[in-house]
Amino acid sequence: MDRRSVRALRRLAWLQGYDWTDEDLEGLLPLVEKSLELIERLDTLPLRDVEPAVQYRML
Amino acid sequence: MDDLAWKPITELSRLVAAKEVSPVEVVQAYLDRIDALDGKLKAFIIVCRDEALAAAKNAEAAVMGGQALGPLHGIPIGVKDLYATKGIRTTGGSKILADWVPDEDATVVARLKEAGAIVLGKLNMHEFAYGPEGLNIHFGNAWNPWDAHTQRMPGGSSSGSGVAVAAGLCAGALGSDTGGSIRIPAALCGLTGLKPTYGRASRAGVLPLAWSMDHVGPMTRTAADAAFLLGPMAGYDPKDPTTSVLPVPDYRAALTGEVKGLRVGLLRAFFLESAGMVLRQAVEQAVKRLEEQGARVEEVALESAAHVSGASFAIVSAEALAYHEEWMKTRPDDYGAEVRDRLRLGAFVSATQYVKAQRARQLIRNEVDALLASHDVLIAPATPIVAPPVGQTEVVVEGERHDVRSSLIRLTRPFNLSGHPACAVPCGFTVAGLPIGMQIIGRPFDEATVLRVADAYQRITDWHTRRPPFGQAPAPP
Repeated sequence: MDRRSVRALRRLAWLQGYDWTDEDLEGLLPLVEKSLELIERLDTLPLRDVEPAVQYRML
Repeated sequence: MDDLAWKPITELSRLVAAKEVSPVEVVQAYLDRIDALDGKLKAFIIVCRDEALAAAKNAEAAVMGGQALGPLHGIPIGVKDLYATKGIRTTGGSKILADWVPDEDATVVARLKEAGAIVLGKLNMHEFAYGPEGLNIHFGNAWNPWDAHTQRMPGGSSSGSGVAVAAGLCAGALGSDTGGSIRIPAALCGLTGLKPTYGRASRAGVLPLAWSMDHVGPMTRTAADAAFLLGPMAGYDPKDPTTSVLPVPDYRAALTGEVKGLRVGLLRAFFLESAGMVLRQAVEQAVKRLEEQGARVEEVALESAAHVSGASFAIVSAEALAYHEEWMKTRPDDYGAEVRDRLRLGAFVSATQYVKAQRARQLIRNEVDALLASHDVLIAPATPIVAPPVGQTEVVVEGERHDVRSSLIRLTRPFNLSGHPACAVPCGFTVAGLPIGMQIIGRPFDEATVLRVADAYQRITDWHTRRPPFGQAPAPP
């Protein structure tokens, strides 16, 4: 299955409880592709020793 | 009476305390302007006419009775319609919450009321704050008052806040900022808009867009007015665990007008270079004015800026869908199509991608901190473009086509990720009369220096004193 296809998006959405139509997903596909490319570019950053910027504070 | 509507909060506050003007006169002056102009401007979703007049009469009685007055006594403000207001509908600019009436005020609304402010009404916004254009399919698009004939975007998501303050419909307003939603409308509407440090002002009672990126702050005509509003807003709130226990300084006392010796880092790569020529020149000229006052300026670069959009997208879209999950399953058709589609994108961000984005965020924050270790403030354009006409989706900057939405948030979003305080101030106008904004970024919890620089700049320029043509020229058909 193509990683970025309407079929793949439908499966991902369905797993989270969303029943979106093929028409909905076709409209989203270019946006998803563009957005995931932006996220993948983060792999070029030196993140090995960086902790995420989220905190759990007891006090 | 109309002149009252244009007075800065600093002066209105003095006039009220000196019994030279009654809070009732002030509130009535704004209500009259709202009646005359807001049918077209659509800055307000709800006007709290009776409540505001009743509060003004109480405020007048307090003045005449010699009672102790708060710093904002009798000052009418507008509140973005995602702040909970006790007994007053809070819609989030949505159909979903169209009938929600909270039973308590958001913390900062309560604090401003304790300081004497009077809530004039609830302000228009992009639905659930999810859009930098500031448009709204449910309540109508607010009209940027700087163009009386063509409907231009006010910028968002705090569009009503920008329009109301710029058009003299209230003395100041509250906005919220997840990717630039205070600074973008401030820039496009010719205002001062401060996004404080993450944790400086409480988000309790404010509808979230993305919890880890949301900031609340003031939108005003001057930096001094922003200092007036920020003081009562800031500080620890047990209802918001992200708020800091650091003491709140006297922001008004910080406004010395002095920038001599101040180290300014001018962000050229990615920031100035993204802006159209007229905007670039306006910001460069503004920095030169600060240099003439004794500031020491050097160019700096934020190397990781190109990664801001990827990290922001992953964080905002995942957090936004998490908040909206139930309604997206039970009432999807009650969202506007454009916001619904944007929310849907969050379903395609994995948990590991979200965490990776938070790691990138830490790296970006470290880099901003490093720049501010050797500089007191950084300066950049607030937006690379001026207000586009409503409906325009692409813009050409220096011969290159760009998406309007991405362009609007490109230069503000880095500091939502990093959490640093950033203030937009007007620094010029295009030939067509549209405002240009620059932003001043400071160290964490050093809003005092950011406001000092903004105020010092406004003492030597008059961009912030100009009034928009809407309401002065014949109204559009």
